[in-house]
Amino acid sequence: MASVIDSSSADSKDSSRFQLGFNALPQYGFGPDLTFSSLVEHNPFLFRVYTPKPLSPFFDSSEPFFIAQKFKNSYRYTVQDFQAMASSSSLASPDQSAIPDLYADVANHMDWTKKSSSPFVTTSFSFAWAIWEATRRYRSNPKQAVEIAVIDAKAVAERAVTALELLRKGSPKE
Amino acid sequence: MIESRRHPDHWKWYRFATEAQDVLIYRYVPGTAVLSSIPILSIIPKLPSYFLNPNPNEEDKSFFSNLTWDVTQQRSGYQQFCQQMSEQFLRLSTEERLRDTTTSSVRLAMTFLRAWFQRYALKDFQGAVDNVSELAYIIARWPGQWWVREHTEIWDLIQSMVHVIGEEVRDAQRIHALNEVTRLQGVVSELQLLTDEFMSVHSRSGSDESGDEADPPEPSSPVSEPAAPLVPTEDPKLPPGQAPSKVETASCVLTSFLFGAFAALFVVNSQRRDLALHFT
Repeated sequence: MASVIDSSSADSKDSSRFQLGFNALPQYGFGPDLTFSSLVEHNPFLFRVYTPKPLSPFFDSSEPFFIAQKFKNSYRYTVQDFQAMASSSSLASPDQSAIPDLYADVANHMDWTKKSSSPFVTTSFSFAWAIWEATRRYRSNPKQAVEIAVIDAKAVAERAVTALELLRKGSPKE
Repeated sequence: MIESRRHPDHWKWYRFATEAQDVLIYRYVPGTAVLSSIPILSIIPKLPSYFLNPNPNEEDKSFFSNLTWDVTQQRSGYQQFCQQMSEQFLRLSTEERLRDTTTSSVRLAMTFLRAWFQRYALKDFQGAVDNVSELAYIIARWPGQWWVREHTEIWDLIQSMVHVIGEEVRDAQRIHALNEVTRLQGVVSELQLLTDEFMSVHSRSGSDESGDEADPPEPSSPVSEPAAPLVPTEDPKLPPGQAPSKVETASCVLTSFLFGAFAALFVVNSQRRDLALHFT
């Protein structure tokens, strides 16, 4: 009887595209696997803590929802603008080589005082970290609304990388 | 050599990025990739029990009084938070752990993805169920991975629960759509009735005008008259103007018929002898 239950249970797991979590991320930190491309298969959600601003009444879901600080200015970039940037750069391939691995970019992103020159948008694999960070931010400034956005990790896989991947490179090419 | 070029805060950033499982997205995130966005104040009431204080302080009415961790702590306190939540999870009874890793996880996953789930339940039912189940399972295994791994039934329970919720959402949306269709059909029928009424009243008013041109104009002229039926009546079976016009029409038809019948009988009667002679 038990074997029947086990086998049916195993069938349902095999038929699912989601495994039992043996490759899952730990509660915090990373296991031996650090790269986004290998982690995204079993961690398909990203979480971003942010303070929402009113969207334009003409906002369309195909437009950028989050834009890195470096590209935030009086002109609001469209997806087509970013695609044109990617194709005009020398790193035009659609894989992760399109992401610059300059140490200065990661340093600017991590350094609060230089955040405005960062080309990256911060997210996390961890829902728990998002909850913890959102409550911390809300508590420190209750006048500002704080929301958690859930992002489809596979939809941004071409331009996503773990912060550790870049920090580990740590060998400045500049 | 490399070490010397690193930023003085390199290892602090490295620790933060590790703890938070940080992912950096280059340039932008398109709106199509954002599944949902939920205010933190809507999430807190839906947290599993190990996040919450079982004996909340009655005197402290603040929004965070139910939470078991210190929300004022610095960023470096995340690891401590994780350990505290795990300890609280392990202090729960087996039944409570099972509840937190199944129903409570599904509840929080649905809180995160409700709007998305409702949009996709009719488009791609199985895909929507799979995605919410995946998030619920990620939530379930967070406080104690080994415990969830030992209880293999949790994945099946989560999938079954989300499937049931999905069926209810799908049926509710279908019923809502059917009700909307019925409502719109009612609106169309009402408009049809109003159009018929307008035509009827308009044609009647026209004939009245041509019949008696000397009469002074009535307040309910043919131009303003169609607006009158828009006012709802107490008895929907008798819209204003509808019943009288039918009665009048029927009365006219009946009178004409009777009058014609009498005339025919009169004529026929006067010629009955001739006819009788003709047929015989």
